[in-house]
Formats: sequence, structure tokens, C-alpha cells
Amino acid sequence: MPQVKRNKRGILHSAPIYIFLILVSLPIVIAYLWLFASSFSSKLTLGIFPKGLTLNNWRFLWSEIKLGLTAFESIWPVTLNSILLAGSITILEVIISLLAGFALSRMDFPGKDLIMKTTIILHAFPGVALLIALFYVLNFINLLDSIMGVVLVKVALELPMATWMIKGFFDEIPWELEWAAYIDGCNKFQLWYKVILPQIKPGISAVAIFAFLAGWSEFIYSYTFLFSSEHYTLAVFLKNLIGDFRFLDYGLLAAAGLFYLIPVIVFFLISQKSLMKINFGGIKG
Amino acid sequence: MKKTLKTLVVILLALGLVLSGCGGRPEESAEPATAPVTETVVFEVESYGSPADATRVTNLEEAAQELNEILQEKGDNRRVEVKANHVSSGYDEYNQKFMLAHKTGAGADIRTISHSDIAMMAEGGYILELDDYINDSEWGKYVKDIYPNLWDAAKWKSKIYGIPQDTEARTVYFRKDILRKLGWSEEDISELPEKIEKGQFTLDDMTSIAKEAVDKGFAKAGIYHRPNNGAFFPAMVYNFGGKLFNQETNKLVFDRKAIKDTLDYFYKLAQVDKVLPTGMTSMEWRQIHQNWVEGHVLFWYGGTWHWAEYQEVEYHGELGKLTEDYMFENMGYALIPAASKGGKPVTLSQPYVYVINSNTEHPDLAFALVAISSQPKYNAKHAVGSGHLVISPLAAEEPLYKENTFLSDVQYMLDYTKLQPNHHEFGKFTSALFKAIQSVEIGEYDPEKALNWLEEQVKNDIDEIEFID
Amino acid sequence: MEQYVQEKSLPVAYPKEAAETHVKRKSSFIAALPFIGPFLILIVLFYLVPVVLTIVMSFTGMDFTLEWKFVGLKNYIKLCQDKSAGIAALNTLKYVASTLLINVGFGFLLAITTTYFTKKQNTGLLFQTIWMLPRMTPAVIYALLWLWFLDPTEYGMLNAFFGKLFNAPPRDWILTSPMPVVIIANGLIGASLGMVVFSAAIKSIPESYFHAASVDGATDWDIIRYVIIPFLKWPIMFMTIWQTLSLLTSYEYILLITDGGPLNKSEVWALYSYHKAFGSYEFGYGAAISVVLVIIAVIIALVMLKVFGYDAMMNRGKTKVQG
Repeated sequence: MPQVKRNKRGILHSAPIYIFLILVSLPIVIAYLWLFASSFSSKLTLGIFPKGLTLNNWRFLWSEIKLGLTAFESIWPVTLNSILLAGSITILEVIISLLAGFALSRMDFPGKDLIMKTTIILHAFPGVALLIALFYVLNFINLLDSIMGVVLVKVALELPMATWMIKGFFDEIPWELEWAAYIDGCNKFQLWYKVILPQIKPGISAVAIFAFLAGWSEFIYSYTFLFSSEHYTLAVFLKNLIGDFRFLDYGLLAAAGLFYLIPVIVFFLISQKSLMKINFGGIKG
Repeated sequence: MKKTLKTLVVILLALGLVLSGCGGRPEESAEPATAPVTETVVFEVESYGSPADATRVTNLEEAAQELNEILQEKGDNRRVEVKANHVSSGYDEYNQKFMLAHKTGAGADIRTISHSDIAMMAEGGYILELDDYINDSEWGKYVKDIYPNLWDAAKWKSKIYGIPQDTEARTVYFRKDILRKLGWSEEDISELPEKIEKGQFTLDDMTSIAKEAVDKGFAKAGIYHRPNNGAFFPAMVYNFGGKLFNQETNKLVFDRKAIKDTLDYFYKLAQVDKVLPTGMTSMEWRQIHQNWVEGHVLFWYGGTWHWAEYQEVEYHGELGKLTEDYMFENMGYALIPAASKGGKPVTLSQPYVYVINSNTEHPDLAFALVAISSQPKYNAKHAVGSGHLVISPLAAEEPLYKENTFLSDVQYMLDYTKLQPNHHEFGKFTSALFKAIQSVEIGEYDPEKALNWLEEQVKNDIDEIEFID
Repeated sequence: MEQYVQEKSLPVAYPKEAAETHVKRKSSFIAALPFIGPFLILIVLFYLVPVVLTIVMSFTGMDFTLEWKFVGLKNYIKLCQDKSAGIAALNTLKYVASTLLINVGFGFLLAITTTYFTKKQNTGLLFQTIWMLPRMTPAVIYALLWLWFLDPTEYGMLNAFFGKLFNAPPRDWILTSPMPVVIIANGLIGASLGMVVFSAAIKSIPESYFHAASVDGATDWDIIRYVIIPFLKWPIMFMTIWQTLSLLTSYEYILLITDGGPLNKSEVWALYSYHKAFGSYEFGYGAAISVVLVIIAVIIALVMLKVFGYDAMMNRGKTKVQG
């Protein structure tokens, strides 16, 4: 990694960079610190400083939330649904885009050009315009009100992006590697699995992050295509919590929002860190 | 080679799992009998409203008990079970989901909707026409007593498609504490609602008092109204003598003069007298309620349901939930003042109605369930709990309801109430109207320009509308 | 299997002695099927079919009855006369151009600063995580943060800030400058995509390149100019095209923050389609609006591919670089 040859330059040199980064990041940090502080505050004003320490806003973790006569579902099964949804999307999207990206980068077959151009063009279709049509398709294959139905829809919509991204990473791999593997008698799947995949871990990580993010924050399709409350995901839960009536205190909302955020942050950090270690460990040591 | 096979198998398995391991949709709601003696009919019911409105479905759950007892006595071997769902977010999506589900032959059997969506639901064939059940069935007796104007609200092309569930009224709330600071005596204050009812206190009077309060520093804002599109704005068009619907042609009406007057009014509030924040339409609900309950605003165009809300939700920075005593001490309520001296004040009601899915397999039982839940004991409970008004004179006599000072106080407003037209394009009209009002409040357009903009918009968007001057 | 080697000029200008080979193999479609099959199934079923259905829908007057009533070109004729559509088109142009600049330009800046310049990986990661926050936040919460931040009363965070510092009166940010708000709100999210993709690409540049450059006494600027940018050419091109199309079709945050208002001031094309379809139940008309967007987007995409050199992009995979 870049840092090797850069040790000769001092702190002074990188100071402007840090100042730049800190300045542009500060508003975000303040906004999220405020969100964090709000989730532990009993009295929330819209102003800068929330006050009054409390854990009450996090009560949804251990008790059910009741509003008037409406009791919300416990957050845990809902969280599990979200994990199932985002996890399935990530796994499927990574596997399928790795397969397809490999073919598009490394093989030459009839129709390849058409496929690549079509996927770009498809991306130009606003997802929301497809809602009604998707409804008919899901109904036709009997996948309405099923988490897997949403998974497949979401994967399909995210696939072009993931595949193009993965293709880009495959493209960067020296051809010789593959060549050597062929000489060793590997077939295409072994080549894909044993030789190429380890080379594009940063790419896999990038795709996995975005797939997981897309799955985790998926809202419109879950909201439209999942009818039964036992299939609700966190995004839907949150939407119901906010409601149109703003009955809830913002503290609770902030806490629920953070609860929603934590898994993605963890996922992001783990995938980033582990991949960096694998790739650049030697230099570090 | 082995490795390859393994990989392939894993991938195929994963795909297979995904493609097959997904159960179909749940079966139709009405299932055949499990026991030979009684047949259980499961009704999916759903309602929309604030969390306090959940009685819209829980009343049905309780009514199911009563219905089952009646069925048993009659020797009917069917038993009703209710699966309830109360939704508090996204009214449009609530309806859209139902419409899509209906297309697949499913969807909740009984729903509550705003009466103004009857036109859309009836025209689209989503809901059942109920006249025969009301007039000829044994259950009709439970609903005979409902106010006639509420039945009118449930009609589309003079057929009844819904059973009224509750109603409300839009009120002007005023801060008594601020009026006291302005030198009003207790008597002046307690006479205000009556003066408004008689048309002696008009919108202009309201504006000038609001201005006085702001100028003297007793209030941060003179007047607040809702920040987003809603039934309040058509109510103001009615107040300026406007017509919104032509019964004969079944078309919407664009009443230029009344709409211009309405736009003038809001323009004056925000841009001339500056008693209404120019950014009213970008404020958060919660902020509005907080400023109101904390006494920073003199007049608030709210609704009867807010009375209950302020006792349920901690809007006040220090007091949290308000006690009713505090509210009686500091807040008053009245009709929306008339636009001119001696004119008639207005309010607008948007009754909620129960409608029955046209796909339902036991429409008679669904109707029976709704009819039973319309009885005073259920209806009064809902009304008191959620700050709504009851649907029948008998329910108004329920002790629980009569004891409620606030609701008894506002019951008279129903004599002044107006309804929005039942037309499937009315939603487009109100959302354009709202934008026009927003444009004059922020000073983007003057009323004249806003009117032209609105007219053009409406011509483009709405097929069934006629223009009058 | 047929294989051959071919000489081709190298897109990377450094190092000088680099040699390249170009290898191409011909495969039959059947051979590619195990790889491309799952992709094709999903795309066809959940993308292509719905798109075709939507195109068909644009020739119907589908409304709240959800019936496919064919009306010919009526929706398209209506669209031509729709003034609001013209405003939406203009807004879209402004919105896409400005946000694209943030998404790609600022994303690149973030990637360089956090990956190349930042010595400690953990520090770089920290900043990257901060910038990922908006993207990771559920849209409803993210939008609420903006609404709280820009609240028009003196309690709003920005107003409180300006009020305390400069004694400025509260401003109504969302009503007075809806477009900048929408652009910045979307830019904060879009920049992180560029950041992650560009960072990953920078990380995959072989270490020896940097090493060689630094031995040669290259400055940071040289390294960016001659090593990083050539290597990132493909991701940057891809991001530009992709984000253009994404932005053209994006509406969600605008819906939540300004809802296209006040009046039509921040109503973009995709949001207009959404409003027509789901706000006023004109599904047929909404579909027609989308189809027009697609036609425009396809033209833009094709032009961009042409400008960037589609063939060069396609054939990158056969380029081999020796370090």
C-alpha cells in the first residue's frame, strides 16, 4: 500500500489533507453525534444540545412499544427478517455477479455485447415505475408476501451495477495468472474459484457492502409486496413507528434509527478491515 | 474436479433454495371449517388512523363476540374471528396496497377509509354496495339511527358504499391566556365561540387580533394551520362561498372567485399582516404542536381530535402531556369564523366509514359485524378515546360520551359542517390547491398569479371539472 | 478452445518498461451459461419483463381501477402539452449535473485523501466510515435529520448555529433554496459510492507502481496524474455513466425532504412520474413519463459510451500489465 514510500515525508506534509478531511466531515459528525445524544436524552429540543440522560428511548429493545391501543411488534423478529433479507441479497448478489462478471470479463461469447449494453440501459428505468409491473410478475410466480420475492427483485435490480463493478475488477487481473492456472490443468470453475477470486477481494468487499446496504435499507418493495406483519422488516417497522402522526418522541426515533444503523456500520468495518489485512498484511508487518 | 463439483452443487443448492423455498401467499381469509359443527370465518380487518384510533378495529373484535352469541342463538353454525391490523403511516399506501391485493383476489375483508375515497373504491369495483343489506337484512336495525348527513358522505352516485364509523369537526383553537394578556375579560373570552357562531366575529377580526398579539409580543405567531395538504383548505374555499362539486353533472367545480378569495386570505396572513409564518408549509407537525401547547401561538386551525392528542402525547417541553384542566384553562375552541360579518361560520368533517371488500366470501357476516359495532356503546367508546364525534343521536346520549365536556361542547358544530365531494379526482384538486396556497404564503406568487397557475394545473390534470366565476 | 495473443497499446503510462499482451478466447454461449445463467434469469424475470410491461402500460389509461385500458398515444400527447413536465425536465438537468459533480468529483477527492494520502489505514477508514454514514442511514431517518437540521424556526440546528454566531434571523432553508438542499443531501450520499469504488480500485494498484514512482522521485501530483488516474480511468468512466443514470431515476430523498416543492421547484422527472402514478393514481401516464426518461437516459448512455470508448472498456479484460 501507498504508505511504504511515504514515510520520508513528515506530518507537516499531510496536515492540509487532514484539515480538509476534518472540515468536510465535521457537519456529518455533528449531525450524527446529535442523533446519538438525542437517543439518550429525555428532553429533546430541536436546538443543538439535547438534555437529560435516559435509557428510556431504547426501551424497544426490552419491551414492546405501545401507542394508544396499538402495540408494535417486538423489534427482534423484525430485525431477524431484515438480516435474512439483507443477508440473502448479499450472498446471492455476490455469487451471481462474480459468476457473471467473470464471464463478461474473461470469456467471449455471442450476445455478450448485447447483455452488457442492455444492463446499462435497464438501469435507466426508474425502479418505482416498475412497482406495478413487478407486482404482476411476483403474483404470477406466487412470490407475493414472501421475503424471498423481495430478495429476488432487489437482487435483480442491483445486479447490473454489481456485475459491472465486478467486471471492472476482473479486468484488472493480469492475464498471466489465468494462463498459469490453465497450464496447471485447472478448469474454468477452479480458475474462477481458486485463482481469480482471491485477487479481487477489494471488489468483492465493495459489492458486498453495497448489496448489504441495499438490502438492509430496502424499503419500497418490502413495504409494497409484504402484507403480513410477520414479514415486516426494520425499514417498514421504522416507517410505521414514525407514522403520519408524529406521536412518538424524537428520542425514540433517534434510538431506533441508530439501532438500524449499527449493523451496517459493523458490517462495513469488518469487511473493510479484514480485506485490508489480507491484502496488505505483509507490508504492515 | 471434485472442488468444481462441490462449488457447483453449492451454487445450485443456493439457487434452488431461493427459487423453491418461498411459501406461497396465505390462503384466502375465509377458510373452510375445521370442526364439523361450527365453521370459523376469519375476517381480516384493517383501519387507518392515529394510534388512538385503533378502536376502529378493536371495536370489531369486540363486536365479533356479540355477533357470535347472536349466531349461536339463531342456530347459525358460522363463527366469526377477527384478525385486526391498525395502520398509522401512509394513507395513500394503505389504500394502494389494498388495491393491489384486491387484484389478486385477496385484501382485507373490512376496512376503514375516509369517506372521500368511496368514489374511487366504488368506481374501481373494490367495495360492495350496501343498500340491500341496510334496508333488507336483519342487521339493518343496528345502523338505522345513523345521522343522515353521514349517510350522504358514504354515497357514490346515490348508492351507499360505506357504514359511517365516526366523524369530527375542524375547529379554531384559541389561547385564552394570550387573550387575557390582550386585556380580554373572562366574559369576552367565553362569549367568543358564540360570537363566531352568530357571524359577529369574522376572519378579519381574527386576523387583526392575531396581529395585535404579535405586535405586542404576546405571541410569536398569530395563526397556525396544518403544514401539509388536507381537508382544512377546501373548508376555507367553502367559507368563501365556494362550490366544489356539481351534483347534477357529477363533476368537480373550479370556483374562481372563491378560490381567489381563499388565496387572498392566506396571502394576507403570511405576507401582509405577517401573523402566519411564511414557512408554515415546511414546518414539522411536532414543532407546530409544541409551539401551540406551549402558548406561543394565538390561533390554531386544528381539529377536534387534537384535544385528545394533547392529553396523550408529550408535546409540552415542561408539562409533557397536558391535563384537561390545563387545557380548559388556557385553550378555547370555536367554529371557523365566517368570511364576512353576519355570514355563516363553517367547519368540515371527513367521516370515516367501514367498507366491505367485494372479494369477501361472507359479505352478510361482514356487514353484520360492522352493523353490530355501530351500536352506541362501541361508537361512544371510540369517540371518547380518540376525540371524534359519534355517528348517531343515540350514541350521543351514551353516558360515557355525555360526560365528556369537550365532545358535548363541540357536537353543535355538526350543524355547520360541510363535506368534501366524493369524486375520484378530488385528491388531485386539493393537492394543487395546497401548492397554490403555499406559493402565496412564501411570496413566490401573488394571488392573481397563483390562481392562474392553479387553473392551468387543474385543466391539465383533471378531466371532470367545470369552471365558474 | 482457441487462444491467441495480440499486441495492444497500454492505457497506463507508467512504468515505462511495461509490456502487454492481449489474449482473447472464443467461447460458445453454452460454455458461458453456467456463469451468466443465474444473472440472465433474474434480469429477465425481474427487470426486463417488468420494463416491457411498463412500456405497454404507458399506452394504457391505467388508473385507480388498475385496468389495462388501451388509449394509444394519449399519454404521450398529454405529456407534450404538460407544462409541469417542462419544469421537471429543467430541474432534472440542474439536479443531475450538480449532483454528479459532487458524486464523482468529491467522491474521487475523498478516495484519494483517505486511501492514498492518509498514512494510517485506520484513520482513512475512520473518515470513510463517517462518509458512509449518510448512505447507511435509512432514508426516512436521513431525511428527518435534514428536516431537523434545516427547521425554519430558531430551534433548527442551522438556524440556531447562525443565530448564535452571527445573530442572524431564522431562515426557511427548504422553502427558499430547495434545489441546493436536495443536491447537497443527495451528493452526501452519492459521494460515498464513488469513494468506496475508487478506493478499492486504488488499493488494487500493484504496490510496485508506487514504489517505482517514488524511487524515480515522482511527486504526489505525478503519482496521481500518471499512476492513479490512468488506473482509475475505467472506474471513473463507469461511475460517471452510472451515476448519471442513477440520478436521472432517483427521487426518494427529494420526495422525503421537499416532496418536489415548493410549487414545482424541486420536482424532478422521476419524482414527477412517481407523483402521477402514486399520488394521483395515473399509472398509465406515470409509466409514459418513465418511458420518456428511459429514452433520454438511453441516448445519454449511448453517447457517453461512445465518448468514453465502449470498445476500449469492453476489451480491458484482455489487457495485461507487467510490473
